[in-house]
Amino acid sequence: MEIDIQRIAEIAKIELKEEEKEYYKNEILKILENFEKIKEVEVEEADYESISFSKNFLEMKQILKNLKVI
Amino acid sequence: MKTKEIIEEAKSDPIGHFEKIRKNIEKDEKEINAFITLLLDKAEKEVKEKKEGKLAYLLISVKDNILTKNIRTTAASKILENYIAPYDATVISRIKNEGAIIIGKTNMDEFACGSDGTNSAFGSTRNPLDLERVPGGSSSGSAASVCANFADLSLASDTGGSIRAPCAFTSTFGFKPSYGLVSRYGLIDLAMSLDQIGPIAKDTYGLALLLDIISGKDEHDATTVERPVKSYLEFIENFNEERIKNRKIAYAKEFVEYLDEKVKKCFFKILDKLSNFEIKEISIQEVKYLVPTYYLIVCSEFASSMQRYDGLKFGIRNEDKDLWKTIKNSRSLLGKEVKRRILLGTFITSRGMYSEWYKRAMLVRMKLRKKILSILKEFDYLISPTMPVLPWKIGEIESRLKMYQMDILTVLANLVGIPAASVPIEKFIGVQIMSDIYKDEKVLELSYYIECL
Repeated sequence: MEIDIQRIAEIAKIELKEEEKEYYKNEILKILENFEKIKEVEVEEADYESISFSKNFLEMKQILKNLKVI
Repeated sequence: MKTKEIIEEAKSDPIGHFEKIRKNIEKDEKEINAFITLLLDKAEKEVKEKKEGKLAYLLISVKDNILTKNIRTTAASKILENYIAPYDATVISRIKNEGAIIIGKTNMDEFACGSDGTNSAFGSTRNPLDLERVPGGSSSGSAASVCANFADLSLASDTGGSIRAPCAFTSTFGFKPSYGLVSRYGLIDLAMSLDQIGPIAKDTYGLALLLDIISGKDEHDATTVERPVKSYLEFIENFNEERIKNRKIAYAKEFVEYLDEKVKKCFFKILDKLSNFEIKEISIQEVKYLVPTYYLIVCSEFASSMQRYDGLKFGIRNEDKDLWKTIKNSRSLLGKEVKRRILLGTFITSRGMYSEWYKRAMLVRMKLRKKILSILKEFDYLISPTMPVLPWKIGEIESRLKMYQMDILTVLANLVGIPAASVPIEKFIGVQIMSDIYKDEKVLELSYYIECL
C-alpha cells in the first residue's frame, strides 16, 4: 500500500517535520496491515449511513437529492 | 461509604461533607492528578447557599470534554488550554437543576484518545489503588476522583470503553447508557456515532440516581429519545430477585481467549456465583474484527470533527505570516496520538481508500449489530470481564496496536449502541454487563444483584 503522507498531512492541516513524515507513515501502514483482516468478512451492500447519522440528517439528504442539490 | 449514606451526610451537614472531600483532595491529588481544573473555592461558596433537588450538595466531578459555562474545558489538550465554554452541556444544566455542585474538571486522555489515562497534555493520572499503575482511560480522572473520595459521583463519556475501563481498574461502578438515551449536546466529540455520556459512582444506586437525571429527550440533540422507563432508581430501590431470576445470561467463548489468567479465574468465579441463572457459552466469531472495525470508524469520524480546531474557530491561535501557516501552527499543539488518529482517519476516508476501509468497517458494523441484537433477543444479558488484563504500570505499554487491543471487550457495546456497565468484583477487575438497546434498567438490576453478592 502506498501512502502519500505529505498529501494526507496537507488535507489534515497538520505540518510534519521530515522525521515525523516517516514515523507517521510507518505507524499508519503498521496499523492498517493489522486491520487487513476486516476484509475477510463477507458483507452485504446496505445503507450503512442509517446507523451513523440521525433520522433528520438522512431526511435532509434525501430532500437535497430530490432537489438535485447533491 | 455508599451513595445513600453520602446523600444523607451531604444534606445534614453540607459544609462538613465538603471539608471532608477537600481534605482528601489536599492530601492525595498531587500524586493522583485526577483534576485539570479544581473548583474548590467556587464549590465552597456554593455549598453555603441553599440547594434543593435529588443531588443537593453532592460534589460531582466532570470529565473535561463536557462543556461547563464560564469554566474552562480543555479536553486535556494544549490547543484548548484556555477555552472557556459559553454554555453548559445539557447534562450539566440537568445536574445543576438538581442541586449538584461541580468540584472540578477531570483529567483524561487528550480528546478521549487513549485507554489508560497517560495520554494527557496535563500529565498522567495515577491509579489511586496503586500509584505505579494506570487508572485506565480515557475517563481516568473521573474514575480516580470517585475511587479516591475526591467526588461523590462523576460524569464522563464512553466511546469504546472510556467509562468502563477506568472503572474496572479503579474498582468503581460505571455505566455507558444506550445510544440516544443521554444527550451529547455540549460533549466534545471523539466519534459522534459512538460517544455517550454516562455516570461513575461508588455503587449501582449512584449510577441509577445520576442516570435518572441526565437521561431523556433533548431538543438540542436529534439522536436522543424519551426515557423508556419512569425511573431507573425505582428498579434499584424496589429491587426484587424474583423479577430477574429467570433471566438468561450468555458469554462469548472468543472473549475468554483474550483474558489473562487472573482475570479469567475471577470471571469464572463470578459465573459460578450466578449459577442460579441460566448461563450459556456462545460463539461470536466476529470478535477478532471488533478492534479494526471500531478504530477505522473512530478515526474517520474523529478526523472530520477535529477540522474545527484550527486556531480560528476553536483553539489557541498561533499567529504566523499567512492564514495557512497560522492554522498549521495552531494544530501543532495537538498531541502525538491525536495526530496519528487524524492522519489515519484522513487517509482511510480519502478518494480510493474510502470503500476499502471506512465503508467496509461500516458494513461490518451493521452485520455485527444484527448478530448481537439477535443474540439479545434470545438472552437477557451478554457478560464478560470489562478489561482483559490487570492495570499495567505507567509507560509499560508503548505499542499503539497493543493498546488498541485492550479495548477488545468494551467496543462492542458502542458499535451496537447497547447499554453496558462495569461492576467491580475484585481489586482492579470488573465484570461487564450488556443488554438489549434501551433495556438499561436490566443492566442496572444485574449490576445491583452482583454488588449484593
